[in-house]
Amino acid sequence: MIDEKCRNCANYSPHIHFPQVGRCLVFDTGVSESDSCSKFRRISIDDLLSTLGREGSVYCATCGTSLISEEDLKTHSRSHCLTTRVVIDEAIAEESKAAD
Amino acid sequence: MGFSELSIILGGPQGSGLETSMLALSRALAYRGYGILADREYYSNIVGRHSYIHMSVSSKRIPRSLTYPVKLLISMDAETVFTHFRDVEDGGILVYDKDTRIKKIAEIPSMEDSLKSRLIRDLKTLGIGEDLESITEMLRSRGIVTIGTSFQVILKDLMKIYGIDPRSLSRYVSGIVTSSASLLLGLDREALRYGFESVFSGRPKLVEQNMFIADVVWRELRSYEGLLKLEDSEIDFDELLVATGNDVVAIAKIVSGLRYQSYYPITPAADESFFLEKYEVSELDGSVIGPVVVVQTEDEIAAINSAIGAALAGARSATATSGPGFDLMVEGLSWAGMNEVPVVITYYQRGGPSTGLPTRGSQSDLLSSVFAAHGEFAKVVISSGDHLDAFYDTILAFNIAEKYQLPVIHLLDKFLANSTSTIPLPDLDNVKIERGLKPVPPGEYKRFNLETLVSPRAPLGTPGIIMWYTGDEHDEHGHISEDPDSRVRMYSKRIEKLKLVDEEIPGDLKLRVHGDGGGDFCLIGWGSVKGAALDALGEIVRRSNLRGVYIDVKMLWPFPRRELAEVIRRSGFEKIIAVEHSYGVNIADLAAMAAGIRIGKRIAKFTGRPITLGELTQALEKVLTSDIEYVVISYGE
Amino acid sequence: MESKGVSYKSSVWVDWCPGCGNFGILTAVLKAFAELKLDPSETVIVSGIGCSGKLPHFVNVNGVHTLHGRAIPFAMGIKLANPELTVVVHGGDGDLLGIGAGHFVALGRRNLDIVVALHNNGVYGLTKGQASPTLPLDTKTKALPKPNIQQAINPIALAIASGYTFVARGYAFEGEHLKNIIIEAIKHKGAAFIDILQPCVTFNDIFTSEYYGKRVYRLEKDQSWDPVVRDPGERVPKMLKAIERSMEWSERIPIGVFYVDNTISTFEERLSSRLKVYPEINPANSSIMTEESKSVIDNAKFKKIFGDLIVSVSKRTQGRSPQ
Repeated sequence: MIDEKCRNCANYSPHIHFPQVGRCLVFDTGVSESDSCSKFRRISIDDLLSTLGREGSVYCATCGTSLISEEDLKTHSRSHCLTTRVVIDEAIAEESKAAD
Repeated sequence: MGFSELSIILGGPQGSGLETSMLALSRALAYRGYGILADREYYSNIVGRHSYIHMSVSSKRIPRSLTYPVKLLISMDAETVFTHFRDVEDGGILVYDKDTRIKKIAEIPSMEDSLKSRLIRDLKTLGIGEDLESITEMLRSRGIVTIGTSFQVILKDLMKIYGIDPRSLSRYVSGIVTSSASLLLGLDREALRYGFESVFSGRPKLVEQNMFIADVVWRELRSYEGLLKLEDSEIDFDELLVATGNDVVAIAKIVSGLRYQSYYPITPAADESFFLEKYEVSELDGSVIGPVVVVQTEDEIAAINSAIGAALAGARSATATSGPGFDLMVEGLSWAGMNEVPVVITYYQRGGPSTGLPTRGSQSDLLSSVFAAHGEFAKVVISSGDHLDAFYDTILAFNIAEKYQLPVIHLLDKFLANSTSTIPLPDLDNVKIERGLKPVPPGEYKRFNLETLVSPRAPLGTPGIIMWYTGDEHDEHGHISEDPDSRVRMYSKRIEKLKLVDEEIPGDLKLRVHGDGGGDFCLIGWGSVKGAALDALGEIVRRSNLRGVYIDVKMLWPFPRRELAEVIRRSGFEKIIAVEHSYGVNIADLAAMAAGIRIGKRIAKFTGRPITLGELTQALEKVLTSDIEYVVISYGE
Repeated sequence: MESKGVSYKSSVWVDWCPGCGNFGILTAVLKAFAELKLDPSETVIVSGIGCSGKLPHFVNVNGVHTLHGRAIPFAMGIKLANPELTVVVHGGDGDLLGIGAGHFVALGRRNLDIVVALHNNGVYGLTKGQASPTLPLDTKTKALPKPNIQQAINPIALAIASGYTFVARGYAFEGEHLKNIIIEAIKHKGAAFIDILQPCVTFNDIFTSEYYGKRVYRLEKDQSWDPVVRDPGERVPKMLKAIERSMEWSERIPIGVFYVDNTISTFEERLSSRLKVYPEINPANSSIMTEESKSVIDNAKFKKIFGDLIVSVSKRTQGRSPQ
């Protein structure tokens, strides 16, 4: 049985580097993957498939990688934390070096 | 008792706060008078790929070289541990995020397959599992202290207490890294605060939050405090400039009176132009310094040619680029040679050919820059061995360009561009600006007057005179001329200016001999091999009792043939070894061509990673004690 | 330099083919400069490669004869370094719209105060008449072994789309009209473009003086033609009108001013908003050294300017406690 924690919620957007913490899209606040609340809505395979179809990718927070095929999505969805949104850190613009 | 010198690696995904950690730690260390040299390694990627900082810290001097193994590895993610655990010295320390302990090598998508299979193969041989926990266990068996801390717990606390936005987590993760390093190195709270204050200048909240992190980290890791405690610094400077090579060159350009810089974005040159834009004009005590007009052009062709245009109008003018951009500039370089234009190209080499290794270093463009552009004409190519050299050489580049009216290429590389160093403040009392400008009276003016090799130069816009320039062969007025007699005189004039450069530039600015002059061997190189080369001389005496000198060729063209021949003749070295970040070690061929000196042995590195002390020392030993003539070194991921 | 009585014609022999459209252009340039009384030492003609590239040598003002396609970047450097100079670029169609097309577009984006005069003859004259970017598809000029298989660029439309704020067309053999356009272009603050129809007597047997003579007409003869944008709201309709008119190329070919927009900032103004002291203090006139050949930045100023990167070392005996 999948627990009703943020990590399984459709409204959870994990941080790109530290996916155990992230942002709640409903309350627009910082949350941890193990938090929970009454607004919990389990992310469904349909949510993910629909995002994949529309935007071309979903994100696997467990692996830290973008998934671009339905096949991958289904494989990862068995035991990994998949999300439709990722928190891109604002500091990246300053942290990254010119790299090409 | 503590450590006087040690090496550190800080690693994590690109964009996760490494840069900030390095800056804060460097500033904190500099505040307590320590010298640092920090190399920055990263992929051609915006975010996510493995990136690390390899740092030397010293209480005795400003470090010149990078060394392996390291005493301390601080990792933000499992990939860093996998990539660098072999770099940690027995008895060293690993700090890692314990939430990642179950990660396996195969599970890291950002790692390249070739590295994964190399690691898995090696671990298998040793009978060690492919997960992080097994590796930490193995490290402990080697006497390495492994400190697992939960980044998650700290970040969660921080979110609860300060309500911080997860969109700026990296600002805090960097704090975990900086704080753990400070604690282990025995830096105090005041120094750490100084580090945070300087990187988060004007953002006091971030400073407070990072100090909160420091408290948490220091409480948690209290038992490890000072495990790598540094001895009090003996370095005798009241002030230190903490800057990258890009920064140093940009600062020197401003000091030298640069007024126009054009560029097209390219690694590892672009940061220099960003820096210039930040400091483009200053108003101090009622006087204006500048302005530097910095223009991002549509391509490198426009960059060089607009820089030439600005030089024609009398501005000190430059562009900065790397190999691919330089290739596009070459036709303009030829025009500048033909028209005797003082323009400086700051050329940061990276790994080629083509896009090559865009974020990694090399010195493989030596021959390409010395022999660039069609036709024969005078151009000067100079190089710099370290940050402080780069400062003075940048000013020298402009002085030579203007005094002799020719293009100057300042050949640097990614290692210098992106590495941070603590250097003493330059002494500007001893810096001269030489423009070679003499007043030109109104009336008939011949821009290419043949009476002297270097004709009186007046900028476009000089009252009362007009002038012409053309890429065609021309007469003294700058009008097209195909007359063979005029051709011979004008063509020779342009080329023979190089003789003046050769005669007038002091030998010390052309090449520098480091060491006491005698000994068993002579190591020759240029640019950023300098630090490792100098330290290797010391190491090899200690290890093998072989004594040698290092010849740093600073002026690559015109090649200091007399000076080099003299050094070689005087000392009677039998063994001459060249070292370079390239396959060919092309300085040896250049010396053979220009000075007739045969260099029998070559040490090459072309992984794109910098030459480090240990591998260079070993390679030197190898070539000195055997008939082996060519050694390739390759340490570092 | 005293401009009164200045002869703008240099003593260099003009070696264009007799009857070349370039003579009309050169004469118009000389007359325009004279009428504007330009100071030769404060005026610079920058050119590219080919027949048009030689033009600066024939004029007694500063001349910079540069590389193929690169006249605009050279001119930009000159103008930005010394914004007091009048800078005029002359280039051919292969030069400005072929090899140098990227620079042509970029100058529009910048709206830098430079005039670009396109010597538009449809061919690469000095290399024996190959098709240029303005030669229409399927056209076979004299020296071409086979008809042209590339389409032509519309220079007026490209200039407008790129952001030039003064866009006009002249005809090399309508000297007085061309001279007036050059004068207006020089007076205009911002990037000005003149497409000059130029017969090439040797290689272009289609776009000849007879061809143009029958077709060109002056836009300004139409009293309702008002190309000037006085308010940003007029920009789009006037742009579209100008582009539409630029498509006219058959029985009638319009010459005159297609588009003028004075409501867009120049590059100099944009720089001025960043640098404050610019253009009064600029790269060419700002001092960089003292009388003793030292940098204007001394040790004290260095510390003030670059203070952010300087750490004052504080080597007190270290407190060991985090608290």
